[in-house]
Amino acid sequence: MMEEFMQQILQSNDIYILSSYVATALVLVIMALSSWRSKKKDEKDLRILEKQLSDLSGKQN
Amino acid sequence: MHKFANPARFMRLSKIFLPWFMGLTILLFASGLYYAFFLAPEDYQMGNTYRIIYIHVPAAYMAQFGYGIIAVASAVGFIWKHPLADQAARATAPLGAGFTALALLTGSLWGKPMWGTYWIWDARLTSMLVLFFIYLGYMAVWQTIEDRVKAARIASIVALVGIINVVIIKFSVDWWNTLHQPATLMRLDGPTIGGDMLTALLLMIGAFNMFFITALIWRIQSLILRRRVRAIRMQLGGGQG
Amino acid sequence: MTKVGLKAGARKKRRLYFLLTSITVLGLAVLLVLSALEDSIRLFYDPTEIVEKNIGPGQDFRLGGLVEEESFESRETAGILINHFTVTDGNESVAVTYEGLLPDLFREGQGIVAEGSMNEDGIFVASEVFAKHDETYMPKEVIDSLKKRGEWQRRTAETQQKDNAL
Repeated sequence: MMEEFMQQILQSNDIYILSSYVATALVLVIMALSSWRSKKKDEKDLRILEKQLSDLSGKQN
Repeated sequence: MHKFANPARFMRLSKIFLPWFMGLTILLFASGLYYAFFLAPEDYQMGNTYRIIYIHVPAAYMAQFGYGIIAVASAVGFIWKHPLADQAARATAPLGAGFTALALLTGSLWGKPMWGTYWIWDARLTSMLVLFFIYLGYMAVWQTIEDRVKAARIASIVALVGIINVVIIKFSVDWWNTLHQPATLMRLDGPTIGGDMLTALLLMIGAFNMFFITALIWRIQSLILRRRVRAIRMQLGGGQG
Repeated sequence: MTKVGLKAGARKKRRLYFLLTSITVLGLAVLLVLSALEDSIRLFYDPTEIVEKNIGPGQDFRLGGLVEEESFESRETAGILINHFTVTDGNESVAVTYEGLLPDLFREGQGIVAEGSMNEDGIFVASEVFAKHDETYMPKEVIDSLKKRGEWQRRTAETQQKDNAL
């Protein structure tokens, strides 16, 4: 069943449709993830630094 | 103008709108893909293979939409010296480059079965490849020049000169004979595609566009946060030293 | 205070004008270069131009046009399948032979681009054949019913002529 399906895809132009959609999905996921993760990382950095800053000013007072 | 570009205001507004853009992205992708594969009929010449249009055309549009954002932001940055505009232009570049690569890749996978070749050096394909290199060059300027003010100025000049290439891409299929066909949607006499095929294409363009804006918001938020991080680091460094 | 503001405003205006003039000048320069390079940027020549230019045998170039109706034939010569067809632009036509697999979109009436050179007999020997697709997308069913009623006319010929005119 699966083999038959694969055979059909490879023989027709479906292989081109399939690979172009898979490639698109991959690139979109990479773009979304890299954008979201860099934002998350900067948020974390900022939280740590803000804490350090408030600790420091607390000590000085 | 300056009110709009206020980073704090951007952070506040983007937090409100982001969920809407994300929701729209998912909704448009779901309905667009459903239309593209279940409602849109086979093409009379290309059969099912034409369905690559539903990712190829939106990707190519986003490649140029991204460039439009960079060009406008660069002009604002160059003339009014607004740092946030330069940063927005910088944040857009990787997305634009990604979509340009996608347009080239899906076009190539469409060209092989239909035209008989993955690649040909015609005016449309070549100018699109040039767009990809302009994106890479633009990103390289930001990477290599350390002085931010100088980097912003040179990057904006690169971006503004590159506008000429976007014009060439658009008219390449009209000015020269090419293997690539002329425009289907953006024509003076109306689109040469209709019914469910057109609906599917418009939904997919909408989906790509919402995706682009969602990712761009994350990237601009990241750049704003990074500015704050740098400012605090300097403050801390100054306090300790 | 106002003087400084005025100065900044003048500088902004100067930068704006600088930008507008340089983009315009650069754009015009690029346009001039591109129109000078027209001959090398275009992908193919149509049969009329080839007859006019009288390109000699052995010189590689690309030929573009429509596959003439009822001109396609596949003949086996010495065990090798060779495709014969004529490419036309409605004015002149050029006979083409090609040995190899044709792309899916290849059919009579379709726009194609062929790479190769003329032989001694004035026949274009193609090393590669690409099918051109036009910008129209239409459901199969619509065309089938139009064909049944005899109302279907190919738009390809019209599009091709528009291409040639440009």
